[in-house]
Amino acid sequence: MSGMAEPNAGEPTTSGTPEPFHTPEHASGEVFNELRTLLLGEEQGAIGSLRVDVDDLRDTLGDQDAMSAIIAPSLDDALRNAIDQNKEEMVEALYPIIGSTVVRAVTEAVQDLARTVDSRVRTSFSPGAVWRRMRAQASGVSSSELALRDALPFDVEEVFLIHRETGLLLRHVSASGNAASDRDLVSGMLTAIRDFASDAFGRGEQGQLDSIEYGGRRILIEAAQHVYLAVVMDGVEPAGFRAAMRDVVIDVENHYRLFLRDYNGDASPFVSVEPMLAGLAALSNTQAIPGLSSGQKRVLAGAGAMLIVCSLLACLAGWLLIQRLDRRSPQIPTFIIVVAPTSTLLPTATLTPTPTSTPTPTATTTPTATPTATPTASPTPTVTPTPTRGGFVDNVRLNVRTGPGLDFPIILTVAPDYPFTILGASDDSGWLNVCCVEDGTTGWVSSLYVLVGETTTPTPAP
Amino acid sequence: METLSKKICMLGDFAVGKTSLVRRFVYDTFDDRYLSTIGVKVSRKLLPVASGDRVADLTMILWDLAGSEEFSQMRRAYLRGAAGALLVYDLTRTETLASLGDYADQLLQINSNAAVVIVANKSDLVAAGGNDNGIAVATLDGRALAGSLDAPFITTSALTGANVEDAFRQLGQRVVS
Repeated sequence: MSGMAEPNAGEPTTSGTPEPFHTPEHASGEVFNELRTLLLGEEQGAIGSLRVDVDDLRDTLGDQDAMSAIIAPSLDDALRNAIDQNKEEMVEALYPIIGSTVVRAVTEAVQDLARTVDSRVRTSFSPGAVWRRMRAQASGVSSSELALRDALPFDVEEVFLIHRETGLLLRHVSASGNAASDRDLVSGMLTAIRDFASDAFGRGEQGQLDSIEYGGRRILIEAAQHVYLAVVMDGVEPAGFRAAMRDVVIDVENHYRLFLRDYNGDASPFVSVEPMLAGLAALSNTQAIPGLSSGQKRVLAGAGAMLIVCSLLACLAGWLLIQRLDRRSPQIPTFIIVVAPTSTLLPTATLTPTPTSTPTPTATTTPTATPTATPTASPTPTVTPTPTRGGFVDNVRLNVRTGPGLDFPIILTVAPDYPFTILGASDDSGWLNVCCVEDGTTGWVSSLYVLVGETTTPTPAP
Repeated sequence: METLSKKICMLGDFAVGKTSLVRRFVYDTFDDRYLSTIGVKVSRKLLPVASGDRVADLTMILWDLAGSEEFSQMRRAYLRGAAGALLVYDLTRTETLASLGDYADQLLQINSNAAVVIVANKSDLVAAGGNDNGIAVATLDGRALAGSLDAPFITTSALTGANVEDAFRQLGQRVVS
């Protein structure tokens, strides 16, 4: 090469100044570098640039936020495309992750529900449980189904009473007791939304907006002519809640009709409706919701009263009918044992059928009518002494019954030798009507076990 | 002191400044987007009002009605029960005054006892622009309309706040009396 000096190998220079030391190896290295630059210059530049890029990439990988910002859009698009094209595969792929989470959430919800139902079932003898059973009977479902229904979450958040035409708030009650300051604006917007819905969707129809849903929260609306009620609630309202709302709004309408028709903006008279609204606000699934409206209850009460009156009338009619039949029916002949006084020791008993219901051995008295005013020595009414036969129980304990037969109930059981006065006998003479058991009542005993004996003669009346 | 609430409507064409009057001077809780969705937004203005021998704490529930054409059908429903209205037009756009008569007719058809106040808004722009002939005409015509309705006429600026309170107060006195 032209630029290269001739080496003085092994000899010192004359000037004494040291020359740059160039070994053959050193010279060949420079040459090689120069050659490399000439041959690979462009590639070296590219490699340097790549090295910078790699360093940047390494830095980016270290910064997670930056990495996310880069990847997210592409990942979103890729996921969206993948889901669009392979929905089922994506569901299967995600199921192990999402499925267990969903299952856990559902399980917890069901356990909560089960606990609530269980607590209700445990109090099965409480008035609420009894009332639930009655409701279940009336509605044709099982009480457990009704308990399940009642266990569903239900909470009233707020109750608004709003003038229908102006949208002005008449009264507001919150379950939490906090009166938010902007409730009058909410009532105005709610009225605007009702008007909008009515105008946009209800043209030519009588219907109106009766509920608004937002997630699990609902606004139930019940309207009368001049006023409407809006209840903000969570969960599922129980049966009868709408009826309760209707009752409240109709009550308010009836009480304040004239005031509402020309409403002047003074809401102070509506203070008195606050307890009614608070009653609605206090309803939740911890309390039994009345299943019937007050109107329905009134109808039921009326029907119950009618039923009682009808029953009483039927009883009265039956009693009168029985009385009438009794009077018409032929009287049952009974037998009186009339004992004729004889000289024999055992008098002969003559059975004489007497058409009287009172089997009383009586003496016939014949009063003598005295036509004159002056009392004269008239014959004294006499009583024919009618001796009756007595008897006593043979050597047994004998049942005294209310009638002549084994079918009749037992009044009491008497001991052997118990004495009777025999008043009569049954048709077949198998049973004797006797007196007097305990406190003078009569009864029937089997004639087989009575020894007829003594004759008693009633004392003639004076 | 009596406590009264009244429904008041804000009426006027699109962009005359109704919402600006409301936004700056009343209690406002809802988003303006309601105006473009259902055509109305409700706000509140509280002010004590003396009318004759009556003094009342008046709560004006303001229904700011969208001025755009697509809500003209809805407007009738929103006007029901209104005790009064601010009829607003833009002093710099004389055409916005022309429709005020129609708004007033609509309101009075539904509620013949409703009180109205004619509000000529954006007076700040008039001051900046000088005594333009068109603006003078708009003012005169506005006064004429107010006279025909037996209503007060007030020039306001939602930007500076000039006369805004006075406009609400005059309407309040009218709805309470």
